[in-house]
Amino acid sequence: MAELIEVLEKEGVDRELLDGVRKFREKFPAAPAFEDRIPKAPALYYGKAVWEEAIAVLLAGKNLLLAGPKATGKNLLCENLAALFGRPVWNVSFHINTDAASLIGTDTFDGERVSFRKGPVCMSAENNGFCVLDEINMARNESLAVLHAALDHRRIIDVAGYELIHVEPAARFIATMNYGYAGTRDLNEALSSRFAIISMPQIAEEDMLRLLRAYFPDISGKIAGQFVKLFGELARKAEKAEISDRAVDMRGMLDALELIRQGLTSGQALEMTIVNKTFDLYEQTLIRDCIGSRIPPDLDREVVFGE
Amino acid sequence: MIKRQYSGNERRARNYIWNAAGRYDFEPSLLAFGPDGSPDMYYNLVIGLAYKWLDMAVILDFIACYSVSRSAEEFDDLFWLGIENCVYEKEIAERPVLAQLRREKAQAYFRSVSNMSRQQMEMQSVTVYDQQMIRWSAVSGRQYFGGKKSAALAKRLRFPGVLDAQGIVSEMSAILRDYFHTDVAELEARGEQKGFLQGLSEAGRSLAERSLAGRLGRALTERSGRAPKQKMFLRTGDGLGDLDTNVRLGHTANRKIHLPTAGDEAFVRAAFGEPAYSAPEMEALEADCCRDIHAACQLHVTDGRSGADGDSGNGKAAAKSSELREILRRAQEQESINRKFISENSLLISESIRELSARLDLLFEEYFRRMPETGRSGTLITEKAYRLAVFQDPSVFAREGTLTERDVEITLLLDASMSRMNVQEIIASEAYIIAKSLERIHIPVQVMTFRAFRGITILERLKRADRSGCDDVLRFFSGGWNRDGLAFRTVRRLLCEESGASSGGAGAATGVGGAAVGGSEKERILIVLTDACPNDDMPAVMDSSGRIVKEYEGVTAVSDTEKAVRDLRKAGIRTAAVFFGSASHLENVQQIYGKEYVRIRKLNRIADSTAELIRMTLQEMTPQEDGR
Repeated sequence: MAELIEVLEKEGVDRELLDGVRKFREKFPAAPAFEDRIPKAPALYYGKAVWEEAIAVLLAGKNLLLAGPKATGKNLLCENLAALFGRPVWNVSFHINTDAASLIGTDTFDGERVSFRKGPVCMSAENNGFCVLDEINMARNESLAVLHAALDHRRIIDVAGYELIHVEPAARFIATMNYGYAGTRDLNEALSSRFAIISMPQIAEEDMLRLLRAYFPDISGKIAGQFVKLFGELARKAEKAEISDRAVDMRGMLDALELIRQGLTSGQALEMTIVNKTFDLYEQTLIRDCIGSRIPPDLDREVVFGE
Repeated sequence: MIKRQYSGNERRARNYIWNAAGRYDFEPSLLAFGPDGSPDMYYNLVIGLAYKWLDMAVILDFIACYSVSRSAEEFDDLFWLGIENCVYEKEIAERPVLAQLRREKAQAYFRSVSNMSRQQMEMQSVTVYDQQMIRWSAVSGRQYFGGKKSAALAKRLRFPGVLDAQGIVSEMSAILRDYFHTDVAELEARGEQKGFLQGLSEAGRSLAERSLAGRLGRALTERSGRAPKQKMFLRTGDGLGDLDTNVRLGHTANRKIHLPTAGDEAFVRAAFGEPAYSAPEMEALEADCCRDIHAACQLHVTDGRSGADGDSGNGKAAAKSSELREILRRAQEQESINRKFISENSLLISESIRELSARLDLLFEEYFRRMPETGRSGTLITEKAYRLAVFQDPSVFAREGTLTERDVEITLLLDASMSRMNVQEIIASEAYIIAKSLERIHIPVQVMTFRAFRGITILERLKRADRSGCDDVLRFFSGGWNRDGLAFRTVRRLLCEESGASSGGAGAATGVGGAAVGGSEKERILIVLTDACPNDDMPAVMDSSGRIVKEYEGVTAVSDTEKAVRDLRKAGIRTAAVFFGSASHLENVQQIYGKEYVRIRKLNRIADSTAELIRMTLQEMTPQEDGR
């Protein structure tokens, strides 16, 4: 993990903040039982300002809400933060029927007596973990009321009929929230006021370029630049509601390059990983047009990975 | 799926242009199409790049200047050949694929030339032919000798990438002077005499179909000083508009304001049916809704014409009016067209209904509260706990079951103003598909239309929630204006009335909102099918002498509608929109409905989009405090 801190130092992230992370890690070493829950981030999140804001929030003992459209690196940043702070992660994917029981825990009969089976929120609270509340706005606000006391200054979870669970000092809650031009709703005030909110920016062109180079060190600079611009154009098209945001897929873009390396042409690869992400034939045409005005369909691995 | 009325090629062309321009905040004045009607990828990119790199106002002004010339088409082709080279040089470093696309364009050109008939060749301008051959030959590495003069012109038409719009215009002016003995300044003076718009609309057709002309053609503006008595229909819809096409209505300047009279009321009753409520109820409704900027308006809420309406006293009186006969004829004619459309597309319509009802069924199952059931885990039911010890029965826990309770009612509100005249059968089928799908999964749905006519905002209920059958939805036809703010106020009042709560005025909204939700467990969803362009002939503000201070259009109308939607939401009515209209009204829809809208670009997305919209509105299960 020292490695990640060094990388961030090189990225120009504020040294005082990184020193704070070091002290935090020394003070709260992860329990060996949960070491396998500490994520190994597949790539670095690029964005100095966001890093600094996020680190400052977590060091201050606050909870973090990462809000932004698709493909802004919210989940990547969550994993990066947990890795940086050396915290085990409990992840909850929210959906409309997420209820208090699936967060806090549920009663069950163990054969002898009724006992409480702890849910991910309690587990992370008790074990100094990071609880990632993924797509928190997918759930009904009233189901989330159970989190209020854990998220504010009280830092407790009061399970009726059982003991009071205290949120340990190194435990944090990091929520993500997707919003688009025509899509998901907002969180209510009661909940959003318990988070420090970072509005996740679209990945900057130069950062995406670095991301591509991190995954594909031998990629041609020119070609990488065109893929980056294509991604931006698709994102703009989705933002203007000309296409859905299904094609604005960073993973798909990386997969396309991987498939080209495997021997497919750029046209074939992008068709599978970007165009076909939507099932509407007309929308596919618009996406294909957009790709065609940026990337020739016959690029092969010799051209793309020529450096 | 229904595709007949969607001109996808136009949207594709626009997308090429927006994409190349890197921005979406303008409607392209030019679109380029190939001979087969498909969008010309390369030339649309060139147009987009012209928007990106050049000041298009300068370019279009210049085109307008020479458009009165008989050789305007020839000049257009040469001018764009010049612009092509300029923007190519500007862009190539940033978009290397352009070199390949340019070569493909050149090859496509040679293919098209080889397929030309003798007559087509003869109709071509020799100069343009020469210049295009020189340009595309050079691009594709061929040799073409067009003579010394042509070679010199070709050289000058290779506008370098360093030029800006003014530089390009100067170069082209010099070319017109040197090679065509044409003085642009003189042409400009002639153009001013003839009228700019006519010239502009004809200028670019050689390169592309000019969407501007179409739009201008659809803008109806009466310029006379005094308006004739307001008509329901100003023109006939061609029924061929795509979902991006709406007819724009303009207001007559300095017109005399026509306040609704008893005659107008009788006319409306005869045309649309008797009021659904008693006179005192209608008076109460008007007192509550026709306030502020709607103070001069009236309301008419009806369940439609019955067979007897035509024979009523009012009906008889009004039946003499040729306009009434025209309205009834048009309504009947449109109903036949709607039914024919449904019948011709029966397979597709039934497929859409099947798909949408399946998706909604799944959605409601997911979103609505599941009925509790007992199980081996969950929340302990204390009064049953003894069963653990006494009977060793572990099923003493309550958890969410699989059955859902769906207490919801959906209202579809259709904009029936004249701006929708080109998409009447599409709106009718859309509403039919949604209503039928909801009915199939036993969700009560009512369908209403709204329009304004001679100061009276008319709400017509095509289908009542408590009645089955959706055939009457096909009675939909468009005509008149749309005063969205007043229509929404009225709908709020009616829906709250039905749920047993008063709608409350602006001051009492919060309390009433609570009462509406608290008093009735039923979830109410209002889906508006709209082009987000409220516009009424009755002004928003008049002075005491009846002079117009502010029209009900633009910012005023949009803000009023936004407030009405906010009040609907405060009253616990989830309000969302299905938007199909011009991209230029996208901001309106966002302002009015916030995030709760979907934009439909073609009808085969109806299942997807409607399901998505209802999902959005269901997500927030508690009434919103601030209306958003």
